[in-house]
Amino acid sequence: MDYVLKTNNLCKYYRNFKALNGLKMNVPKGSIYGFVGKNGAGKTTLIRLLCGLQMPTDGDFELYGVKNTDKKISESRSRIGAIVESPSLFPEMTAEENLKYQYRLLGIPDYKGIPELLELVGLADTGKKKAGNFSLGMRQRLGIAIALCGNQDLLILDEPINGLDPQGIIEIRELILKLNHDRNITFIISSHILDELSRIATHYGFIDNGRIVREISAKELENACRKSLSVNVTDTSALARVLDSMGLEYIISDDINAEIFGRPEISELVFALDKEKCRLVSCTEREETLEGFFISLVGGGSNE
Amino acid sequence: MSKLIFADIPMVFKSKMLYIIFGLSAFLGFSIVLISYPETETPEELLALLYYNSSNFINMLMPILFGGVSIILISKEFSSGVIRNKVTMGHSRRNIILSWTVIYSLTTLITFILFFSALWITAAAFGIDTSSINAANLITEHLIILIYVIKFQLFSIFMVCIYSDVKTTVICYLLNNLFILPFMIFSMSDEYDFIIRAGSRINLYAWAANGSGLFLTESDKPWLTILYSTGLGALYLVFANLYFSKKDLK
Repeated sequence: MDYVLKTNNLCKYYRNFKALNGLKMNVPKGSIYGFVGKNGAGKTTLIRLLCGLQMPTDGDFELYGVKNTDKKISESRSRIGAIVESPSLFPEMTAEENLKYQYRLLGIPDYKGIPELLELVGLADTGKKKAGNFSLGMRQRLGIAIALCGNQDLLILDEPINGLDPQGIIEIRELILKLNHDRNITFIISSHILDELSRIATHYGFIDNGRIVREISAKELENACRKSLSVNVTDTSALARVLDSMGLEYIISDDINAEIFGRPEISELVFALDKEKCRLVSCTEREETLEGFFISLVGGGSNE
Repeated sequence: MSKLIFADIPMVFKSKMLYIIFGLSAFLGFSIVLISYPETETPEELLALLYYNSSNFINMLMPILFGGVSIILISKEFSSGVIRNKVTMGHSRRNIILSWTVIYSLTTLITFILFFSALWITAAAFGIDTSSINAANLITEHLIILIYVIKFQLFSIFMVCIYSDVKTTVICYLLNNLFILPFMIFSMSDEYDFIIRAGSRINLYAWAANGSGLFLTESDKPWLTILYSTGLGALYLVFANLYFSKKDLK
């Protein structure tokens, strides 16, 4: 698999506080990588390191195969756009002027792409309105437009939907999905709003106390979180035969426990198991929520 | 670095603050002639007094005239977060500092030209006879002042790298005057003549005491002033680069 970013035991210490403590993560190319953690887990610190705003205390990372200690890292960085904590823009300039400034910083000689960029983020009709007078959602969208200048193929967004109203959240979500689908832009999005992230992310990295506790794809997470029936039987091989004949998906945990997906008819199941000389000892319905999954990873039991 | 310079120059030259400073410096150049003219009888006295008052005003108002624009605009880059964009897209911190140095040395040069242009045009308008001026001396004195104010500009850039805030203007003002203060104190006594000489070579001038009070002493070795100013300016640039390259940006 092609990785845009790989970190290797990344550490960042501030005096006695370890913000990042041996963090390892891998971001596949073309993915929307949801970076999930509690407040103070180290999300923003990691983003600052990736953007070159701070230096790691220990460890390193590779951006497009180039190590952060390599002099060529600036070439790799020229392919990324980022919003770190809040959009970086001049409040006294209009949207267009902010984008023109960004174009000049990138050394792009003409401004032909700016109207299309403004159209893409829905700011084409802001005219002479100064960015300082924009709503929070508009500033976030302008921040994304600034990050997109120069046809970047990796966008790092630090909590992009914080403070947005529902309409603003939908707009940002749709924009991210469109950019990922149409332009194959890789996204790294940090958030603690799991529900929103679950609607767009293709991969997840769960961070706690400065470490990645689990990396998982969206499909694997979906499997981990879907509804299931947890059963305790006397013979799981007999159970497997019965479930195969019923066409149900299942996972055998050990000799007596299994997880059945879907909604089997219980009486039918018991009857079929009885024919196989297998007894159903107990069954419990489970539905792991994303929050429950997250809590189970970072500590604290499920509330169920 | 050229991308940084070409990006920032239009932004800097659109700043209203810059044109206020330009206007202020021209006004000061004009005002100095107005103040100096009634107190003198001969052109030579007037020229000496013009130089004295110019140096005095420059030293008092340096943080505003020459440091204000750079401090305010650079600190705005920190507060708006635009500095993050520059670093994220791969511009090295050294190039960022150098681009600031080039741009704000340019604004300093323009401010300097406006100040002295206004001064000499006003002097000519008042009918002051400038034919007796030694051109080489005049150019040397102007060059000393120019290098001195550019040194201060580099000091401002160094300070704003540390404080990243508009309050840097106040800090620069206080530090600049604190630096001159010991020389003023030592000038009260004849025993510290060597300190007064040293002060005149490091600053634009030094205070010296005679029977009737304090008077200004120009540098007896202008080339030393140029050397000190250039060396200090380079040192500020090195410190700014060292500090900024390690600074954690938020």
